[in-house]
Amino acid sequence: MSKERFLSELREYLSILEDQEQEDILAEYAQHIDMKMLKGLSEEEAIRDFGSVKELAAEILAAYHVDSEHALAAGRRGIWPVTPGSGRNNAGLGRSGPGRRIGQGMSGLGRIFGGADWPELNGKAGSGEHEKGLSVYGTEEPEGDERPETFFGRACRRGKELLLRALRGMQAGFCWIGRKCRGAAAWCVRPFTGRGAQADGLDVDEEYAGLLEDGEYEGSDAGAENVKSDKCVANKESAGCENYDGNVTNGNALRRKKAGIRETKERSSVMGGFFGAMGRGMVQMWQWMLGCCIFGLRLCWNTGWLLFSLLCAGIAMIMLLGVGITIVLLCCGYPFTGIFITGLGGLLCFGALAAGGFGMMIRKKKENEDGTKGKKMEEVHYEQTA
Amino acid sequence: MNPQFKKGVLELIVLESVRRKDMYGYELVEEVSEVIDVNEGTIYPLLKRLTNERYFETYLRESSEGPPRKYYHLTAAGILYLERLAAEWEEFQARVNAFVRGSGG
Repeated sequence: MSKERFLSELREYLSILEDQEQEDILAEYAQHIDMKMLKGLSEEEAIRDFGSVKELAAEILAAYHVDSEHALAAGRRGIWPVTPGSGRNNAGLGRSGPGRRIGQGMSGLGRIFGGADWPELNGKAGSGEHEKGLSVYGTEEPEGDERPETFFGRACRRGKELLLRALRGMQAGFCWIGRKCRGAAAWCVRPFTGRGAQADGLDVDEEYAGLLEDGEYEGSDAGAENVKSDKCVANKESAGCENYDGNVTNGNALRRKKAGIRETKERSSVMGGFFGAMGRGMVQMWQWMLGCCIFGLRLCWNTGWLLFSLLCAGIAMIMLLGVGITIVLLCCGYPFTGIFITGLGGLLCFGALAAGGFGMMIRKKKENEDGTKGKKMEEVHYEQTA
Repeated sequence: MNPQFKKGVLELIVLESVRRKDMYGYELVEEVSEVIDVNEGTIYPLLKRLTNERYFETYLRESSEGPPRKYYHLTAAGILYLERLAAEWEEFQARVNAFVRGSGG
């Protein structure tokens, strides 16, 4: 095999690589052959030492992390045709065929999902750098705006736009639902808080004044609940809230806003009075019922312990009587020691039970002069101790 | 020599050769061939890969015998990589030797 043929075959197999890379490799091998020839070997012998061109090309491609089997087969079939000696690929998959479209499409997908180029696809095969040039798929990326948009690239761009639009719509929808829920919750709570048309501690007029001061207004005709939320102000840049952003430039819109706020105020005051009274009545009734329940429970508890204590105290009194009689009899010489001890024990036991029963009763705490309960005496005691 | 063995250590030998002095392709092939019998064609892809991985950097130097030659120089990353490879090789061959000689634990 001649040197020219060897290099030509090798170039054919390596046609997937960038031109510069091909030239580098071929130059190395050419130089190697030349040096061997200088040392006295024939061209044939020098080339024979390289072994099979296909295997050699496979090793070279493996060094570039390229699927060598596929690339070799494709290169040999002429999918990447080569003009011998020209050093340039003229046509085919790598330049203008589907490879280019795939490359651009994947690049578009990369931009959609990551915003960055896909290194494996857009980087040069073998260079390890992301430069303009031949990709693994043979895509040559034209510079800047010169790049013609393919069908796949256009579809990807369109898909990206639709996806972003859908996301913005969803975000706006959630913002709207959240705003409505907040408004409904505020409306429900207002009668019970007794603040009427006030919202978040601001009077309607203050709210209106704040609108004027801030110069921010939502372009909707709805009432006070449509005042731009803080979240939307903070996320001014976010896509979902951008519809609620804007400056006050329209006097009619302001007047409508003011009228809406006043209307809300009047409606809230009427509705708030009725519901407020109803709510307050319900709360008082509930408190009264709760108080009754607590009182009844305490009464039952105290009554039970009182009865128990009285019973124990009565028995203790009987025991005391028995002990007294037994003492008299013992003094008279009767052998009633055992009965005396038993009686004494019973007296102490029932006396203790009676005292304990009285202790279990719940008593109302004595109020101090300043209204505090049960603390002042302890404090005085601690002070005296100190 | 078993080609699988050669394949494993070829990278280490090439790195070590270039660490000693900057070399051009043919010179390197000759240097490596003195150590192991290797297909000349396999050295260039390896050189290219190591260059792409920034373990080598290249420069051209004029030659009296022909066109300028591309010399390979080991970078700092290449030195670190070589040290790591050498350490791995030491451990590997020690274990294999110990096992083959029957004195391993």
